[in-house]
Amino acid sequence: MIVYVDGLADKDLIDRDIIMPLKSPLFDGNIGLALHATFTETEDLTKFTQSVLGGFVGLFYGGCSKVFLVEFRKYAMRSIEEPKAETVVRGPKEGFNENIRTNTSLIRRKIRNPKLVVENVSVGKQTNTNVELVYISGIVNTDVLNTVRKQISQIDAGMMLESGQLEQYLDDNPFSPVSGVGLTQKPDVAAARILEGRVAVLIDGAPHALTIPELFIENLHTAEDYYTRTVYSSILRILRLIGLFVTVMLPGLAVAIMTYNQEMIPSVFLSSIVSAMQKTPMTVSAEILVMTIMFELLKEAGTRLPQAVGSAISIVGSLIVGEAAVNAGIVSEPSVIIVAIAAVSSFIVPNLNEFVLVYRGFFWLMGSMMGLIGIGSGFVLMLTQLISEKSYGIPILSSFSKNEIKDSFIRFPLKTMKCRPSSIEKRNIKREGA
Amino acid sequence: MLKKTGLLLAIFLSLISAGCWNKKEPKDLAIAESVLYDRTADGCRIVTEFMDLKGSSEKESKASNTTVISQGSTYRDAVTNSANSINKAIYGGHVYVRFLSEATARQGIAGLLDFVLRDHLTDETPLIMVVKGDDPLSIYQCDTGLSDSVGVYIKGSSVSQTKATSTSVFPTTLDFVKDFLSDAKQPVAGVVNIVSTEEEKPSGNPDGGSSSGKSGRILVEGLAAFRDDKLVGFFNAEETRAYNIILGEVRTAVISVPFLNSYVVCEVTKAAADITAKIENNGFTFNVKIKASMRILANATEEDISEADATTKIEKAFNEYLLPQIASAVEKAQREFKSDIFGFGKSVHKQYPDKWKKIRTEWDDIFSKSAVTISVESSVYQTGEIRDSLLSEFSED
Repeated sequence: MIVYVDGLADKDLIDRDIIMPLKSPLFDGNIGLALHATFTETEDLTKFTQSVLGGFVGLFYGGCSKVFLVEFRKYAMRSIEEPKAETVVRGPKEGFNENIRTNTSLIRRKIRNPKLVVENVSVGKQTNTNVELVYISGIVNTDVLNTVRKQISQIDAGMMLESGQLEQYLDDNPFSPVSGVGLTQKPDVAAARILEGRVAVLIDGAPHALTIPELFIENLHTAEDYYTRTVYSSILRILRLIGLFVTVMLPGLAVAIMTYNQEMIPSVFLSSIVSAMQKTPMTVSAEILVMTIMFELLKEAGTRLPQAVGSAISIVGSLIVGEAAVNAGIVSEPSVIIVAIAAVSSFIVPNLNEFVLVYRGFFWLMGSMMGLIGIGSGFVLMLTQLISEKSYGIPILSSFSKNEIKDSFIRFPLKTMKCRPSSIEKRNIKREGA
Repeated sequence: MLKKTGLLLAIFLSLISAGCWNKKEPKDLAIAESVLYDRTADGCRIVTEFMDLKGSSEKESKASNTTVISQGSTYRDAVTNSANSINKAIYGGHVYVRFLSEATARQGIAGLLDFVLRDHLTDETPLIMVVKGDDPLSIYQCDTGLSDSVGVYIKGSSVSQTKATSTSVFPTTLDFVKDFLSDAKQPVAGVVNIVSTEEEKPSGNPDGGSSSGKSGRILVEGLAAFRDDKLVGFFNAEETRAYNIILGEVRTAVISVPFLNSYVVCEVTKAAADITAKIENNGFTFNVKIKASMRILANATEEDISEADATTKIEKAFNEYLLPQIASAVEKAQREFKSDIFGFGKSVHKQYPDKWKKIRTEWDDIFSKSAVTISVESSVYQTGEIRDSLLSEFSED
């Protein structure tokens, strides 16, 4: 008797390599010799059902108490494509897809090292999702690895469909605006992080790899930083840092300066601000808030809309918000400009969406209630929060320590970066050794 | 945990409630650009010049300014009363100039300075200028040239003039107060002259907008010398230049020096004085050594000034030309003003600290009786882009 799930197993192979040999006149009753495929034997019913649900073909023969399991998986999957969220100009364009085996093979092709370990676990009481930990033994931080193992084994969930769900189970502090788990769709990025001593977690059905631990500065890095020349990539990193400050603090800072500390504005500029705002009904802080909400609405609508309608909506949105609102005297030009600059800068740090949104609102509140004092104390509070934040026991700002400054907001020449980040794994930080 | 959260919340809330009191929406601001302080028979009067932003979006060729006159028993009173005549919150963070009428300055401005320093909404950056003449209010009827307001006009002059003539001074309120509080130097203020343009004006176009009502021209030149808080006299342009040279505040001064039978034009780019004091028969004598470096901008003589001995001759002519100007400026301060605006007292303070402690209160009287010897040294460091004088073409052959 042959057992398989229709749609998960390859019928052509079953015909050719199982049925044909068994029907052959040469078949002498020894199944092990007859099968044209690698197989395993089991007597365990649970293992049998799990395997068949995972795409294996089960073969019962005669009065034998064992079942033969043959791996003839075949199911529809997406081909390897360039990830849309992490496009690069220079560097490999391949991205993970929804098949976990493809994803591990993509990583294995980058790291041809016998010490690369792929550890298999099953998560989700109902879904029995395949989850794999990928790391290099000898480089990986074993404390982190053990914690991840323990956390995964403790997950008490019925379903595990996407990396985002797994991430929330792995993250220590669900209310923190910065995630302690990194995310990438690119095998080269995942490989680089594994080589720095991190653990990558792949989950079947998700085109993302989670990397643990995640330092704050990684949100300002891209794969291309390492593929382009030193000076250029350092400048880009500094620009991204500025972008982060602008998108988080500019609206709050602008409100604070415009309503409390007008002396700081050059008088030519102040006169144009005053004359622009004379025609609008709202206060500065209300204008900024309204425009920010408008922008977030448009952004949300843009992501949900079908592509064909999306461009039309964005044109209408920008026309209405940018042009008509100003002309009609609902909001003033300076507020539109400030919100627009902050909005554009937010796309520089796409992984920090949550952080940006939370702290932009926070600084807006502090700026409109307390002026520059508020911005200053808000900044201290934000720094305090970031400094005390840890990802798997590692402070997320540790990239700014002396040892790791070579690869933080600047990037030193690759030749001089002889050590791996010591905050991730201290015992063995020489890059060339293992 | 609860305790900690409560504590954090308490700190946070106390921070929040601390900041609310001085919120000003930009659209509610009346931005003052300059203030004129004037003392009249029945109290204090101030004129505040506000930026007028009504028409600025229509891109008018000239945005006009609004002036508000208000009266009060004190200056602070008058500032408060000006709120009766303007419909927005008066905002003084962008005041460029504080004008003092000549009458006010002569009567003493200590009370005014106290208000300016004590009030937290006034700052120390505006320039202090004395408006010469008995009709100070007419400054707001003057043509402001390329600027929108009198305040901006004076602020612009303070930048452009120091780069050209050095015949005026632009002390900020802070500079003035520093000198005022020091025994070793008396304060000075800038001077604004109002020049009537009635006769030089053409018949005028009736619909010329704001410029049709303008009746004067502003001339920024000279220096107002104070003794303590009272105005004691003015320096003219040349004397002010001498003042700037002695204090080393010359950025650029273009001086035409008589040379041979014609003249050369020198541009002094750096000048400083070394003042040494000496005690001689119960009084002080001062030795003022001035060093100036300059370049030649024009040569109207036949001399080939690129030769070394020619530049020596020019230097000598320059020294001889400048010396009497400086001497007369110092003498004017000693005899007429009896006020040490040059800060000779500072060198006494440095050289004879013990003696200074005894005489500091009567320093200005001692200064006015001291003997001063002045010497000028100069050096030409550039003679321009051509070598021979163009005039020499016509002479020899």
